[in-house]
Amino acid sequence: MARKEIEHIERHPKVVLLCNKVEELSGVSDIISSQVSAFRVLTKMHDIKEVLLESAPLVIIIAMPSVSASIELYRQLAQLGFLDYPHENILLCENKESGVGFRCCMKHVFSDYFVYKPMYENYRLRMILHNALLRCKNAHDTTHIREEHFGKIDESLKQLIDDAAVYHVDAQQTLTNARKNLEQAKGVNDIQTALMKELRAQHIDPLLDQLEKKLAMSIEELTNNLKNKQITLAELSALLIEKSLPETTRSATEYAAEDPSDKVIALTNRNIKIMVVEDNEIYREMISKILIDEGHNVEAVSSGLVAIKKLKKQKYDMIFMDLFMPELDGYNTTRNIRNINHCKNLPIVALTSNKNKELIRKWATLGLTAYIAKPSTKHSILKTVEKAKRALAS
Amino acid sequence: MKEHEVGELQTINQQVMIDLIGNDHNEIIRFQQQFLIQAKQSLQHIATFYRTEQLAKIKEEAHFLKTSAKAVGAEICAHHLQTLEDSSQEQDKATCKLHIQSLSEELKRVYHCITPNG
Repeated sequence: MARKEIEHIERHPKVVLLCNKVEELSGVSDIISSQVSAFRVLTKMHDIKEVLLESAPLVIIIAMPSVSASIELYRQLAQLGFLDYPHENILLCENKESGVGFRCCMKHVFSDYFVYKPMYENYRLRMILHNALLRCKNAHDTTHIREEHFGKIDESLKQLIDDAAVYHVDAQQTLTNARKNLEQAKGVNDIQTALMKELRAQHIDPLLDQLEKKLAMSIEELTNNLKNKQITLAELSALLIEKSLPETTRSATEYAAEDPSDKVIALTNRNIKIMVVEDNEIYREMISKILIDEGHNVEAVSSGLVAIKKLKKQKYDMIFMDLFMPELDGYNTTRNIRNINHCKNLPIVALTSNKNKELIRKWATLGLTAYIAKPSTKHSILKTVEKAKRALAS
Repeated sequence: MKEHEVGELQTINQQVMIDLIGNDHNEIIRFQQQFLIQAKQSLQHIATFYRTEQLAKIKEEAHFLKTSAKAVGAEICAHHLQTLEDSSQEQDKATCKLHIQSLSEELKRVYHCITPNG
């Protein structure tokens, strides 16, 4: 496994990442550096002190091996007087310490926390960083969110988000204009002007404040809901599969027009095209052999990245996928796959020996057909193929 | 894994592969030999990572090898790999050393178990 080197040596960084194991943070650093050019990773105490003194970075991200080590480093720097300026601090921690991270933020030790191990969510980190920079004064020129940072979003969905944002600006402008007009309005005499002033102070201004606040909240909620729409659909799909409910995307007349049992029989009788994504060549070969022996058309690949590339070009009927793989894990591979148009409902079976139920549950929200505990048996694997065929047929 | 369960583990449980790929003797031998080659390489990687104190890399490598150890029925090996994974995650270098030594010893047993003249 090749070690990734990190080179972020900005002289006057506005965002710094303090850690002692750079190789574990290569993915996280790449995300930050793609969003903020004035970024630097610091591992040595001497460098940390020098940069804090010279550049006073706006956002300090700390990712020591444990939360306690991160707190200790932050405390030490604060005690030495290196942090006597307004800044945002973000804690990076492992999933097993997320509770401690949450508590630290509730107690205002850190502004926010982000779980980066064993897996991290790209956009969540971008959001945390973006918000932290927005909270800092004069930091608007630091963040460079570009179109490609949003990943692949439906064109119509993108349009809806943009429309909602424009509507927000328009509505706010209307309210500001209304305020101005009211301020300028005068009565026919002093008594009427005084009455209008009183009315404005007691009733109209609070009403406008309330309207403005509610509008901001509603728009934010609407935009977030739109952004999460694709994930929510994936969650729903996972729930439908889990609870064995029929999918409801087709109309009743479509069901009436054909005998559903014909399609199920046709699919369950035919051999299908299966992709196996597993980094361990021995296990990959074993799974492939089981499926090939049954007459299925199998393509085996060693990484999530290769799988995505192939899936963009060709259609498959189902995928067997490992959870822990170098470069891109099963969860993030699945996220990418679900963004490919013809793969939105593609049955995916998770191959995992991982005991962490939380990870599997998180993965399942993207729509897993089943999960197989390694090494499993031929019988279970073929049974899963039948399950996927039934899912395809329905 | 509980202690009494560990005692029931086998160096090579032949039934695991029979259940997985079927009772094809030649294929079973082929996969077992492939495992020995892979394990030797992985153990060398683990030793290097240990010397350079890259415990996170040890965890990744142990997890990688655990998959094939389980698949070929090398149950004790898989157990040592799991404990190595756990101790490397906990950054416990001293315990890692003990598990690496146990793993190395167990791999020798696997070699003797599956090599006719071993």
